[in-house]
Amino acid sequence: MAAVVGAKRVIERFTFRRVIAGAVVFGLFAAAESAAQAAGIVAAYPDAAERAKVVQGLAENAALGLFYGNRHADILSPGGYMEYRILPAIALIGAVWGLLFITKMLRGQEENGRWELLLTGQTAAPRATARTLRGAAGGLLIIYALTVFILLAVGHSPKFSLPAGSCLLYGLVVIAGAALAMAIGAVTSQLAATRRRAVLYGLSVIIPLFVIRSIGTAVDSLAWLKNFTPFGWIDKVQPFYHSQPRWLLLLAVLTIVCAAVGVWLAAKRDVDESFIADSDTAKPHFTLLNSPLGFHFRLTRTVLFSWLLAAVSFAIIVAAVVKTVVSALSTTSALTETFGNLSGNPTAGLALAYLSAASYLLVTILMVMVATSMGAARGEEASGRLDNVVSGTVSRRRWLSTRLVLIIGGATAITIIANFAVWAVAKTQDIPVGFVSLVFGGLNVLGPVMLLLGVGVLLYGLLPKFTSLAMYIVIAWSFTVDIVASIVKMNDVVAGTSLLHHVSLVPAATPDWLTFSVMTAIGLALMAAGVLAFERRDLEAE
Amino acid sequence: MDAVEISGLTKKYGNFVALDNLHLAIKKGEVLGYLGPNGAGKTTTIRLMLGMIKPTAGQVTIFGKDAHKQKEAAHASLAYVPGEANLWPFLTGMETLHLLAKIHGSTDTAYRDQLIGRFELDRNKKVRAYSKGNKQKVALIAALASRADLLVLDEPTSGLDPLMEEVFREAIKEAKDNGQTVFLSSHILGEVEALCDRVGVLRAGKLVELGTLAELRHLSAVTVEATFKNKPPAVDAVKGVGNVSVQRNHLTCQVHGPIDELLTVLAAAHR
Repeated sequence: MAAVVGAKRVIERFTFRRVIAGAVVFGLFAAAESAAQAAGIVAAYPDAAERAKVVQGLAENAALGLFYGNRHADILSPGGYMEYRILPAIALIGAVWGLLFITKMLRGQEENGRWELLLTGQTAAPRATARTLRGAAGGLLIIYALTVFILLAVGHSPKFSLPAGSCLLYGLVVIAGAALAMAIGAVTSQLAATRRRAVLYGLSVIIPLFVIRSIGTAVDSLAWLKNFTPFGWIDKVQPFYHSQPRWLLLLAVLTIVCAAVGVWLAAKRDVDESFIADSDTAKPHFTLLNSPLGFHFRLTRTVLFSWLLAAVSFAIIVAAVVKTVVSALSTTSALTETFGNLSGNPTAGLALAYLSAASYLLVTILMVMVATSMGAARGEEASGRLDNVVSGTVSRRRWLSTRLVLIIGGATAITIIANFAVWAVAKTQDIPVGFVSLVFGGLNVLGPVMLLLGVGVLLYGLLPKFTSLAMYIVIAWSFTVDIVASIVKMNDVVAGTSLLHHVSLVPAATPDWLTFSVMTAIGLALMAAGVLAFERRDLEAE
Repeated sequence: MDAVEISGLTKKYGNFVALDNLHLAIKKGEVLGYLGPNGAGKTTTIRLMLGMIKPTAGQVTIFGKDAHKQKEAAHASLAYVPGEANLWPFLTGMETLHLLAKIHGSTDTAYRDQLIGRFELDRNKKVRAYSKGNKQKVALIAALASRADLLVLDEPTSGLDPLMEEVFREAIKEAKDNGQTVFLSSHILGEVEALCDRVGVLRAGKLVELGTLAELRHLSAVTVEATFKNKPPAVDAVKGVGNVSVQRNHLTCQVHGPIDELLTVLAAAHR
């Protein structure tokens, strides 16, 4: 009898095993970012008068609502600032992660035939779907535990004094976005015929919901919009300021309803079928199938264009609100200094310093892009598809090199186009920013990107299974260290471990081409070593 | 120069020996069957031949080119069909064939179109909509249409129905007639018997038998032992019977093929 119970739980265990690594990385990221914000506000504004100015500056700046949380909250306190400054971003990142994970486990497994194998066990599609969701929920528990544990440890200090109850509630809010996205992913996995489409459908729900929240936060007269989006509810929970857990209850109900719909839909269709039909036939197009480069482009073009769209959108939003931000924050010397520190030039004007935020977002996007691209390269090998290529006349070196050319070319094109968008939008607002310094100077952000790519390629050559995980850890570390270093004094050696520390954020800072060259050279050397190692090691399919 | 020369080929994973000191030569134009149970090391041999994994010891040459040090040169003269065709799900069958032809470097398009018809492949269907057998057909057509000097086939008919298996056998015979060399890993005895000039048998990473089908007939012999009250009957003349040994009233012999005639003789002596 015990064996049967074990068999029934195997899907939960299998899913849980797959979610652990991502959950630990995301949990540490969420906890570290939150703690960094709390530490940052305390260190940067020890003086009450200075903090009051910040609050006034931020509260008057509607545009910041696009990125941050409820500006009318008590952002003077470390907890309040934490939920204002980082919680919306964590909710969005968590939602994207949750969606990607659950669609991989549901529609992704169905696509590669493993789902069918699971269903031959003592289960049926709806139960297997529910069990997969339960296994994924184990990952949410890990995130919750890490966040709460770290916040309780940090909050214990009298400098922060984060109440335990609020920390417990904050942990729930941190996982709320991911939980809802997993439930939405369970639904889209039933609707779509492929994982790619399931992700697309999910994002087409999640992104508009976040945008509605942002509009509701930014425009006071439209604040009611936040009542109609779960990301608005996340803002309204306010764990450290007038806690309103009822919004969390609403989120839980919506999550459970979506999950139940996903499970119910799973019972209403055959395996390998979907509610939204996708054409199984197509007219052949051979244009991009004549060379490895063309084929890689065909494989990755949708993803590349998505990254381009994301980078340009963020760049335009940042550039579009620059005047508002300048007028809102100009009274606050500490915040001006913070932006200045972040951009690498404390004496730069606030407008240029704030425009540099576009470069900061861009480099973050590019780093995530190269990490996912290397993950996709590993995916080709793990799935066995690479065998088709390297058993022909295409060498492993050529295969990987062409892929790298495409990644580097894509990152360069995205950088140029996004910086051009910033320049063009800034010009419409009469911000004096030079075309050459922004569009060409902005290319220096590729230094850390090249170094990260080099690290990824070397790992791919030596320990392919750890490529993605290690790259995301480097990104999370760099992001956290750099944010903390921008608001508190940090040991130079520690600050230097962040890849972002070595980038000059234009237009506020003058590009440091020597640093760029060194980072690029190191990156290229690591790539060369990685390619050589890849040529010599065994191919490893899963 | 042989098409494939394997000498002292060994592959170890830690303490586990996946392939142990394999020596094998495949002549040009020969069809070599490679038999063995699951996990015997058949796919490991093929992955070593293709340079996908590096040998712990030993060497493989394909038409004189080192399979590990001169991979691309070696690959120029071979085509490979994996046991499970992992293809790009969003490409159509025709796009996949085009891509694989470009990767290989050459293809006989007229023969490819003919094979598409013979294998009854819907070329406009996306790979993700194909069954396992249809994916296998795509890989087979791509390899056969390349007219490569060496075909390396790793259980190529897995997923094919009996009619398509027959089409596959015809295509391999055509390849042989065309002077191509075929390395056929399989565990389907009928397939190997119908197509192969020689057969190698692998067990636990070791090549335990190698020879022509006639030379390996003893492998399929049934050993019969019978004890009689009196002297056993003479069975030497019975069709298929050999290695007869009689000790007092105990008979031992081996039978190749149908056993019915021997049983009739033994039963008659027992009465």
